[in-house]
Amino acid sequence: MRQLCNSCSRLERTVGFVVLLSLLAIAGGIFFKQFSFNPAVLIAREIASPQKRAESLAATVPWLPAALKEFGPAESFTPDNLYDKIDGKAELYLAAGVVGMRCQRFALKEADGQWLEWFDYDMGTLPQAFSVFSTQRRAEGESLDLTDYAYRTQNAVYFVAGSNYIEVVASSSNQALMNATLDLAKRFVAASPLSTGRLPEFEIFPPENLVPGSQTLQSADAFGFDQFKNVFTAQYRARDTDVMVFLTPCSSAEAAAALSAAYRSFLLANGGKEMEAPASSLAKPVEIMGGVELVFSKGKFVAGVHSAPSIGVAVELAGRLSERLAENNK
Amino acid sequence: MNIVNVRRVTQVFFFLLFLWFCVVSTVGERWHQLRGWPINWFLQLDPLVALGTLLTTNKIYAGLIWALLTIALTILLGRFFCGWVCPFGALHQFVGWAGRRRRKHAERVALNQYRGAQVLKYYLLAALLSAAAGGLLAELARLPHHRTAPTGMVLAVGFAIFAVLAIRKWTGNWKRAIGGLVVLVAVWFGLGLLSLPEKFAASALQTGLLDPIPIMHRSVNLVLLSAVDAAGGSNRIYVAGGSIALVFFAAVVLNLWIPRFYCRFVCPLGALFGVLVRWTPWRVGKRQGDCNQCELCENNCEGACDPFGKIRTSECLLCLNCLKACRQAQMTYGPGRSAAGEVESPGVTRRGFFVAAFAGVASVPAARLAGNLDQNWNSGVVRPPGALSEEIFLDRCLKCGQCMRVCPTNVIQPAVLEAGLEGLWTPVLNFRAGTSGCQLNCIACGNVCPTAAIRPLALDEKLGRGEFASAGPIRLGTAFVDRGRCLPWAMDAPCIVCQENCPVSPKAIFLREEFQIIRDGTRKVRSSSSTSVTLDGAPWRTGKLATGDYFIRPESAPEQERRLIAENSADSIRIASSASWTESPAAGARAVLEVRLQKPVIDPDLCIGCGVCQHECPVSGLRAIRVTAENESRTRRHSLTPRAG
Amino acid sequence: MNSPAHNTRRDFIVRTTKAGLAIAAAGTAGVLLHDRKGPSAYASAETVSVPDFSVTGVGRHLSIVTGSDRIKTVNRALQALGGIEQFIKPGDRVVLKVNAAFASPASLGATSHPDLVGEVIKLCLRAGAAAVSVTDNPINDPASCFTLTGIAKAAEAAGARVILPDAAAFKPATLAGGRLIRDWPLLFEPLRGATKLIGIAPVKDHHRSGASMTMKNWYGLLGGRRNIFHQDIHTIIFELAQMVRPTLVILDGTNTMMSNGPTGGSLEDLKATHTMIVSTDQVAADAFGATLLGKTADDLPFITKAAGAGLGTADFESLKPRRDNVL
Repeated sequence: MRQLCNSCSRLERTVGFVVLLSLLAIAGGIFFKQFSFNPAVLIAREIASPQKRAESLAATVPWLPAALKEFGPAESFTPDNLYDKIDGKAELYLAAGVVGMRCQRFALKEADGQWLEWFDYDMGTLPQAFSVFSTQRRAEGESLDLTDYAYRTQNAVYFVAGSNYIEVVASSSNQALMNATLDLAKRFVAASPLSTGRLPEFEIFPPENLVPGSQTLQSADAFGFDQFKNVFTAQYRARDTDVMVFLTPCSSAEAAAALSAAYRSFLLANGGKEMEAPASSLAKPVEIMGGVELVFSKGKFVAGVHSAPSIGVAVELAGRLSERLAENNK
Repeated sequence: MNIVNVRRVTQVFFFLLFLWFCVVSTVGERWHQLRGWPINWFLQLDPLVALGTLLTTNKIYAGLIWALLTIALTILLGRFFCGWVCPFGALHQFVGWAGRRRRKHAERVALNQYRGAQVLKYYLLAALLSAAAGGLLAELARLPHHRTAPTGMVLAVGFAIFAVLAIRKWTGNWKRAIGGLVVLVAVWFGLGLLSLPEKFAASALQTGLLDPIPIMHRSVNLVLLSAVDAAGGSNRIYVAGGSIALVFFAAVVLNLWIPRFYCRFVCPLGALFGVLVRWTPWRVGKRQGDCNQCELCENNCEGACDPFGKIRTSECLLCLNCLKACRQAQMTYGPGRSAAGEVESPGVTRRGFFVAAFAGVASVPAARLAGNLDQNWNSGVVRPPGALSEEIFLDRCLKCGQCMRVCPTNVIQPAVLEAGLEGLWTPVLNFRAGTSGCQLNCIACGNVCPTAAIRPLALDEKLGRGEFASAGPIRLGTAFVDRGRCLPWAMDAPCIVCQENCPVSPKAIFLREEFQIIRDGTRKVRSSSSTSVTLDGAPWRTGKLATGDYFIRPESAPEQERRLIAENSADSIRIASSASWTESPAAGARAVLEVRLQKPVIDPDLCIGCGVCQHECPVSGLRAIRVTAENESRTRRHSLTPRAG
Repeated sequence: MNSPAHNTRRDFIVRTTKAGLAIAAAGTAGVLLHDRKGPSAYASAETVSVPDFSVTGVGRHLSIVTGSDRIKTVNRALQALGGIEQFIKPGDRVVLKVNAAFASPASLGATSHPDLVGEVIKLCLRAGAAAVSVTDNPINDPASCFTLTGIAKAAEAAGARVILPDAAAFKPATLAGGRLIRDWPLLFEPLRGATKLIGIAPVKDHHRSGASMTMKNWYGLLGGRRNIFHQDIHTIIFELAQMVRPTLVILDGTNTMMSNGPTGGSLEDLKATHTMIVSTDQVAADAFGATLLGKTADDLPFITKAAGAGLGTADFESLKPRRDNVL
């Protein structure tokens, strides 16, 4: 019978060859096996994919009013595909740093064709959420006691809840539908512990003659000036017109002074003219496009008045703002 | 092609393949991640895994059927697994070779002599398998209980015949055989009727302690790879890693004393193969009884199986070094027996076998005297999602560490002694060690467990969705708030970190809001305006009360007059102008300063015990919210609330 | 014939055959025991279910006998249903599930009365029962409970065996369609091999469930940390009544614990209501028992649930109860 030994080279070769071939076969088998993924990997892929099934809002929150029912599945979007849902308006949110958006439609149980859509933009931070809230604020809107920043129009509710900006848009101004809309928003706020929060910068603005709800935060390119980022603004009632006062924090007093000078140069470069000012003025006003512009720095803030009807108004408002800033710096 | 070189190539191939399987055990679909790599293949080829779980569970789980291939090839060819496939063996062989490289011929031959102590591994195998078979014994002893069951009678008769034959064979004496049977039956009935079989015999799978493939897996997974990972900047920690490393490196270093020390003296898998090769058709042996006695064949003999003299077939690892070493082509691998004679028996004595088997059976109830599986269960042992109830979990767990390596958050840790002696190195969740809790959407651990000690869950089952909606989600335990340590409960300090991080929806942690007057918070008003108040008393740090959690109101005023503090200096407080008082606190009256506390409360119906809250709790030492195993899904006996579904 | 080559070949063939057989055996065993699916969620070793102990063809009946002497009233009540022979046949192995929940004296009415237990045992044995055993899984230490309530003494004197629950006596049980009784330890060993089951319970006020009577009595068959079921007491009583179909229930309203149940503790808690109820319908028995507590079936959700599921009737009058009195 045949056997392996030190001199039986032919058999040895054959055996060795068979063994190596089986190693190859094993390697090949393993290679093909690795294409049939472990369920854990498949799930991880499903979770990570942008088209992941968004969880139904109704399933995740206990706050769906009794009058409403789900009217379509929940959808969710990332910055990459936000265009798919809101088209060009995505720009506004992208510029403000949107993290994601979820939306879902709900309808009245009792009435056909009465529905609303809930948009929940996760903006990452409160200032960013406030920024998209304020820059879109509808003039006819009426303030709502929902969160610190909230208002309603005839058919919609808009508010900031923590770092999220939420729009609830109803298909009509139907009373029952609007009641359900408000109810939905209230329940959401009640269920979200982080839905409150204010921006401290707005506390600096003088309260007298402030037009309620006129605060905005412009996250970039305020007044067409590309160095103005995170500019907090508010409107003041002055002699039958509204005047805008603004404020932006800088990293240091020096930076503030430099930014203030830069804006001044920007105004002058774009056709602005220096005006004579009363002694009480903080800085020389600039007349541009029929309005008076006054910019100054105080501590770490650049502040000013935008498009005032007259020097007097500009100087007076700037003076009050400056006082508040001085108080704030204490 | 030199057959020894082919063996070396094969060993390197399997060793690298093994390392590869360990390396890729991280969730992901890149080529170096889990994908579909059959990372459990070595464990599945390991017949000790299959046999051990077969004894404890009476089943061979899914892929473990691969062991049949190893068994069949071993019965046919000999212990090829030890000499050609086993990565632990390859490591020992390499280190042993390096250790004796510069030794003289005579010393090397002496190192590779058969030693009587090599029989030890057979006793270890006997002990481990008897421990695993304890449940079967209890089942057997329970037969008298089932007086009416005909199958019981058939089994009993069969068992009796088998016992008589077995004793007859051992003793060679019918009288003693019958006598032995009578004693056996008496003991059996005595134990079965008078006592509780469960008390004296239960099964426990401890083969993983010494089985080389699980050792290799947990050592590479938890010790070697975590060192590699650490070099790459990641910081995976393993609680019992030190003891695992100790066993591993001790086994490796012992090769410098005696080559293949572990394989020769300890390895129970090798012992199992040693039993299986009794009838191998092909074997190593000498062509002629006498040769020129150079003993070159023993120069590198891996198994220490005495190929020069009477070869011990049960010890031969099929390294084939003797074949290539023999200058006269005396050594062969073929169908004939060695001309110099063979020692077929592994050398196990009857007495030794019974001592080992008895020790094995007795060790389980002894280990369970602590009552770990009964009323004295340790709720600190939180098992991974899908883990079976403790007793049947221990029937399957190999301590191989696959779940610990694959866990993306490093929260699955090898137990030290918290799960009892028999729970050493089994997976438990440690929410301080990991980078987070158990991730909601992860099902990796059960889907890599080779024996289903952790069941492979579908995500729907883990989360209690779809067809599993009525059963609810898999719970690992429940979070408990330690009100003596929790910041808002114990220290009037606002904190809602656990609630914010609870991943369950709706959240299993809800907040109970409460306004509490702060320490020295009732103070006399010195002066006031509609938005500011100056107070008497010890000064505060500027901004201390301006975090958004502190409020002020006149002592006599109702809650509606409570105002959020916007700013504070050492003695004055300002509130937001938009919320100014209609009537500010009068000078000389008293105002109270309150903190709004949101105290976390657990809803046991919703909590799944994932431990994210515990991980995130800012009380960094002993956490103020901790998950323990009460209410875990795997046994209803630890329920906290009557469960739905 | 005996050449070395021949021997070698023969040896090789023998070994190959043995090796082949070994492989075949291993392969067969492997394939037979192969488990592709793996374990299921609750893979318990042995699950049991409680057999139906009711006597077929007897139907639902109820007898109510007033009187202060338990021995007389229970005899009369059983006679009213046709005598114990209707229910216990020669050779029957009878289990009496008593209420021995507390280690308190019989006089306080928190447990089944030993006189009643003893009498029922005697009646069963007289009817030809092969064996009678008495069991319960009490709340306090089992041995003390059976001793201090006097049940152990009475039972042994009457010729029954008291089965104290130990760890091995419990087996996991699942009620089909049940919500709470799933893979839950049940005091099963005493029931193994039994052919008849009689529940004997006093009428008691119960702080959680409103009343503890015959249906609540089955709670004593539960093991484990059963007190979690107190959070959903009516459902657990209802599920127990679904699971346990007794031969008879005997509800002892001789002294009713009107308040501070289920333990009582003072004779002030008891009221002499002098009634013995025997029934094949545990729902009807409890519905009548409720009246002794000054309640109605509607006050007790577990009765409503059980009646709603068709386990019995809450309208006990519809069974035309046989009433009698022994003075």
